[in-house]
Amino acid sequence: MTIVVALAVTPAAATTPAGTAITNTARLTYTAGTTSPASLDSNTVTIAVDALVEAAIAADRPTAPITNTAPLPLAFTVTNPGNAATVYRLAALADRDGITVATIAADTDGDGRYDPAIDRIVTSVTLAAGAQQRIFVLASGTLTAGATITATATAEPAAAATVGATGGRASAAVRLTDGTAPAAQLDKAQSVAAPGGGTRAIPGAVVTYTVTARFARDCAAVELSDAVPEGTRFVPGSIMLDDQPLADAGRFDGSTVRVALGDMPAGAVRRVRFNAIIL
Amino acid sequence: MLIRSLFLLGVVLATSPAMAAGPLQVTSQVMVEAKQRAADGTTKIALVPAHRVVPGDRVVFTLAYRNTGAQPLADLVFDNPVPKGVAYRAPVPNSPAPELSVDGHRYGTLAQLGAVEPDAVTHVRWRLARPLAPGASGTFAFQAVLK
Repeated sequence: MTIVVALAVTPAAATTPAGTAITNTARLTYTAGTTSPASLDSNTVTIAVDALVEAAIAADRPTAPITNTAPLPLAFTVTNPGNAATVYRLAALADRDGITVATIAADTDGDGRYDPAIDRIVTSVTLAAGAQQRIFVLASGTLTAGATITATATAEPAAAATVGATGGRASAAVRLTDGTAPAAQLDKAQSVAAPGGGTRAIPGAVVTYTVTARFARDCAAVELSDAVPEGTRFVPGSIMLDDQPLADAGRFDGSTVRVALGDMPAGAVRRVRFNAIIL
Repeated sequence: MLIRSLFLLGVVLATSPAMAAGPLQVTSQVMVEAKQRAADGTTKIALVPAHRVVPGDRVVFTLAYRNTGAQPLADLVFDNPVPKGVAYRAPVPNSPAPELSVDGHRYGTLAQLGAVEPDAVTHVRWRLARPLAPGASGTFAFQAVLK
């Protein structure tokens, strides 16, 4: 299993910039009596687009393993979904005493990694309409697993601006996880159903294997595999993922059940079940 | 300051008198949908002059026409290019549905044009099937959303 390092930030949809004038004119054609067709334009109506202030922020990853390096940079991306350049005041808050998150740095060189020599300490960012900026909340002090650090971007709207649905304020959180704990844990259980009832492991009995995977951290491209034991035969069509049946094709290779789970976020639980008959 | 002066410009243009060239008088108007909370707690949508509009606002474009001449006018076609920065949504209730176009040449319904979303509409058009008698009038209107 590998740990996710890629981050997905979707750019905001383009909105009509503040100050744009939208004009409407209709053209009409008609004939009067026997004359040739005439045409005229309606009057032109113009509406001016005002500034719309919105805020958006997302954690680049929902969890962050605690490391020995201090401070621990937690990456967030602030987006301006509005249609005018806006100043966003930045703040961060930890839900446990002893954690300090007062310092925020902008990812000045845009490489996604915090570098104290390059990335400048900021208290606000100014973003053009649709623009984004990655920031790092620098967490230090007594970092404990389970603590949540919340970053907030608050827009400072210009006097004439309209504040939209977000109220010009957005927050996102990162949960700290134990950096030494394994990324995932697998538990396997089995139950036996003998022919005619009972749970004795005799030839002809059906063994149901249940493998439960719990992810403590984000894991990318996860595949869960379990070899069908010697002395048993896989029961075709018996693979279930979270109680949903899966086709055998590509999942049972003749000796092993393999189920591709894809990218798993921290906290996810998946359960794979299949049957084998005792020979 | 720029925004404010544009806004003033908008008001002036929106309230300028209708064109009265020839026997056909046509007035184009734009209104914005505003949610209004009544005393009984219900919310209704009212159309108000488009003063402060921002992306996401729903606006209504209206064409009001009248034959001010003494003889009937035939073959009336109202062609309205959808303004830039605006996405067509639907005809307004009680207004005849316009014919739609995604290129300004071919007209029909969205399905006939092979378009899947009203966002693709670039022109709307209304045609009067019968001549417009002297003194007769009517309105066409469509809803749009500010991009």
